[in-house]
Amino acid sequence: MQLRQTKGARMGEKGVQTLAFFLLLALIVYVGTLGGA
Amino acid sequence: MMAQKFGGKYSPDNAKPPAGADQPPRNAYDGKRRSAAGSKSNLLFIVPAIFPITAFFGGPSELVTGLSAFALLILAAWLTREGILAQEAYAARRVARRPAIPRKIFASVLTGAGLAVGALSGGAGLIYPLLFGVIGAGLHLLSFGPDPLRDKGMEGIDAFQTDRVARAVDEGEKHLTAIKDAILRAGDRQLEARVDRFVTAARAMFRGVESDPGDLTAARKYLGVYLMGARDATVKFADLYAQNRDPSARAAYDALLTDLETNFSARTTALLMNNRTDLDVEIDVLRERLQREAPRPPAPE
Repeated sequence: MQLRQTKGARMGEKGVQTLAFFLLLALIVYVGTLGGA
Repeated sequence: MMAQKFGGKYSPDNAKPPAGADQPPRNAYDGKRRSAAGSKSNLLFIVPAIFPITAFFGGPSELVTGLSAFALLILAAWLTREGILAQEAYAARRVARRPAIPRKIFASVLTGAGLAVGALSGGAGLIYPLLFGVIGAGLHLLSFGPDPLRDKGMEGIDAFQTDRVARAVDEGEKHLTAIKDAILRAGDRQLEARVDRFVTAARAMFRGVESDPGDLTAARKYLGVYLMGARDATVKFADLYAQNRDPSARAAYDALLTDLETNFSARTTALLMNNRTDLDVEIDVLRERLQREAPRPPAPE
């Protein structure tokens, strides 16, 4: 049975997604600067 | 993009409801949602630009790996955006097949590959590039999620019928796009809004047919011939009206749109009523059987 997500759970999911996204961007920048050094 | 004149219920141009409309027209934005393919997927196109910039300050091998990484990451960004759009199309339909290509998952893998290739030139051995790749793919998957991997709402519907419906709806959508495209040439804001309203009515019918593929035979003409006719009329009208701004042609076209809209709405309502009849029959049959099978209380002596 699938339960309805609570608002907190939705917000938490969104937060994790956003955090992961910015970490990904940071990783791309890091790896990008690694090559030129 | 031109500015759109403010208008509302009490503004002179919109004060009178369109002829033949007995219920208030749907808002042009009814049922529309902001697309999620916005800043996040756009940033994925911009940030990898650091690779080609740094690539040119190293040796030849750095140049090659840097440019390859850039290409892979841009491809991944493009796939991500396509995947988001596909997922929105999937979410908008009640009955949908899973995307043929899991675009977002491919994008995750490509992001990982791009990062691994990009890190190769750093002289960090082989372990770190691989780790970067795995981490990058994981982060991408975490932030954008996987694609919808299962068909939706296909239970109790035979695949053949649904395919026919999907094809018919796709054809209808193509006609709608052509209509919207053609009316832009007329350069008349009000008519554009008018066409938008008709498109909304037509889409309501699409959703109705999707929810009950059995209705396709009844709706086929609307999805095909009528929309094609509307498209041809729109093309002709737009060309003519762009040249001579003939008010009588505009009035005729407006009347056509009104007719189409009322017809489509009436047909959609009829289709829904049809569903209701089916439901009633189903319920009646079942209840009758239950009544017949129910254990009877022992007859009093």
